[in-house]
Amino acid sequence: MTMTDEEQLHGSFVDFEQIDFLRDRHVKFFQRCLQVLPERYSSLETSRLTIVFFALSGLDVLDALDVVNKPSLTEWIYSLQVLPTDDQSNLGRCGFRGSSHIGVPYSTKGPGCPHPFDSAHVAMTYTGLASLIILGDDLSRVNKQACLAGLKALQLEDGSFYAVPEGSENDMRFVYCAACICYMLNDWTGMDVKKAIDYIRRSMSYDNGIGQGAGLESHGGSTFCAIAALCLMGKLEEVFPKRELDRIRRWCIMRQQNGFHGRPNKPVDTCYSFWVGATLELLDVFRYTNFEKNRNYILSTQDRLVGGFAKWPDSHPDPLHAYFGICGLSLIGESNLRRVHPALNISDRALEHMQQLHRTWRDTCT
Amino acid sequence: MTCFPLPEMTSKRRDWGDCSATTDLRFIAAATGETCEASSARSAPAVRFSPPRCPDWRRSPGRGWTRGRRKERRSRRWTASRRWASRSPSRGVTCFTVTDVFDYFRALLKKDEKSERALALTTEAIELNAANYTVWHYRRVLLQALQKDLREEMRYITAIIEDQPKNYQVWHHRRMVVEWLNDPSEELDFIAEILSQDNKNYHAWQHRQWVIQEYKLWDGELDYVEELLEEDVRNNSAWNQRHFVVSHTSGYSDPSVLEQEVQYTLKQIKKAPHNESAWNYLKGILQDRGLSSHPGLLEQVLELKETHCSPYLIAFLVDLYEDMLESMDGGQGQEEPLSKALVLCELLARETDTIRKEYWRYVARSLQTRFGSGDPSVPTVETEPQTTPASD
Repeated sequence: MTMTDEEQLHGSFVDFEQIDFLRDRHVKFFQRCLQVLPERYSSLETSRLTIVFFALSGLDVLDALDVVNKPSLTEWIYSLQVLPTDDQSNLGRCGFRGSSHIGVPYSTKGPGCPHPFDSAHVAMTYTGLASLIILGDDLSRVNKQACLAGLKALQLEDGSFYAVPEGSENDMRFVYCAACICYMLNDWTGMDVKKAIDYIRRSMSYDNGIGQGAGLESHGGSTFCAIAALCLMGKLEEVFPKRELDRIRRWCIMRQQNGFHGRPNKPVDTCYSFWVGATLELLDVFRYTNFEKNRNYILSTQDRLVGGFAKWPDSHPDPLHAYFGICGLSLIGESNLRRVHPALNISDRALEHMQQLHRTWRDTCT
Repeated sequence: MTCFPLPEMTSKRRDWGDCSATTDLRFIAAATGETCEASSARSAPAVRFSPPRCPDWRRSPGRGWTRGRRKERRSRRWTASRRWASRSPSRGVTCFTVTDVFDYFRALLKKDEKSERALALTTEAIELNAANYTVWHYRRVLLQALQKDLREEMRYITAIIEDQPKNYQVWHHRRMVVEWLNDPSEELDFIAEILSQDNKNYHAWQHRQWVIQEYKLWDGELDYVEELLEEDVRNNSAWNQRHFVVSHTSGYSDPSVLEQEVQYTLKQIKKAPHNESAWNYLKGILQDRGLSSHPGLLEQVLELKETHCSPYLIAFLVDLYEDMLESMDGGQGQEEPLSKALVLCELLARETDTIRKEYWRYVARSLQTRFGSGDPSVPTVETEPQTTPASD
């Protein structure tokens, strides 16, 4: 072998290492997320359940759920359910909490414990239900009517949602969470669909992307939330005629630079490979993106030592970017990854389990 | 109501008193029958705070609410989180861990206590975790119940936002205080200050739009937008704000306004041709009236193509020709705009926007299908769409 050949061989080995997907590192990364989080994540205390969702769904997509203690996690998630009190006076506050941060006594069953400030959070109800489904639970201990009552209490006149009944900001993120909750519980009485789709329509920007609300800058995250919510409702083509869908397609597909960014003239970020990628998939044009450049970018943000992915290369990984990096790879058909449902954001396996549950509910209905 | 003995807080130091009071404090947290420690033990994942390594109970506030400078920010929060319980019988000075602060918070929350000490505690808790929305809500309840000085609260939230401008809760809190005071007079300047540090901060822009719309503060905003575009013509948030202001004031229906905006945008494009934001704005304000209906526009863009070309310009031309075809509605003369559009799609695919080559070929096929006559002399694009990726 000549020197040139050797160099070439060595070179291509090095290239391969740099861009290979380190499955086992990511499994370990998510396992650690389910155990202890370092102090720098203390700001995530009230949303710990979302971290659990990222880890569980991430492991599911990696087909590594066997490393998880399913019964123990299931119990913990149920302990976060805000259940109706004896007198049912707190129905508008029911759903799931993000963690035990309020200090309500541990309990996995009702009746609920009265507490002046204990209430659910829409993103926790969404990720709680999704996590239970991923764990293969049958949702039999979920008080579905209470969850839906809690959801109804969060919707505003303009169609958007608060996160909590005490009040908070309201935007497209919570519209998406609400749609996921109704979809998973197979019950759309939890929201006024007409008002919600009206909010979505009004949030479309002059540049054909979708913002967090009317007048706000179009953004990859809110565009995903809007389009995915409409798909879950089965209303995409009713709300946006073909001409408008084409315009949205154009806005989305222009987000690819190598990886994807969230807004024009902003830097790319791994998580948009999912937010924008999934939107393009829902709009049936993801196949026209450049898979290779997308893949190379996502893998450039992989942390080879610690596992997980970061938003940018040579940055610290975190559970959110680890999860969405993997989902982004799943969209392009990376081998050994389960497919992810682009609207509901769970694996096809978990979705099948949910669909089976829905069939069971329908059959047991009189 | 049971009154718990509690050390008084001095205004100068956060001195929580002697150790016997500290012991009382721990007893207080447990007295409410809180089993949060037990539930924390059972919960997974735990957020365990790393054991503190050194005692550092020096705190900077006490001078009043100082605006956190970026340099200080990290060390001040580090200080707060590394505080530990130092029970020194000789010195009697104590400080508390994060768990202490929140155990104490949980106890007061359960009681729904409305007191100065509760308010002071929310300040501590916020410094440790400004993303805890329950603490913020409780603080708002206390501010109202204790009829606190909301101007003081504005100064407080100003400092917090300066320190953590990408946190949802702090902006929501500011909005609530502004609403209670019914006084937006500080807002535009404050938001401008935050935007001067990050001129695309989505929270800042959202708050700005709320203030302007709620209190009708449209005057001067277009000037502000133009200032920002002077600084950075590629600031997509500023372009969005331009649309927000114009659409809510004069509107775009007035032909002289529309023409003014078109000329302004073309001018910016000449300064920086490779700028998606400007092209999106141009298309956005014209697309519903029909790109091909705007007199002289096609000619202006074709002229620009010679000296200030970009993928966005070419795509704009494709859209313009498509609009032309649509308004012809199947009538005569479709071959020429169709053929021009197809040639431009191929130019984008092959040369100017290769990352999207599959997409541009898909666009060409759609145009062909919709407007093509099946005439063999019209160029068609013969390519297969991308199938499976190479990674299998």
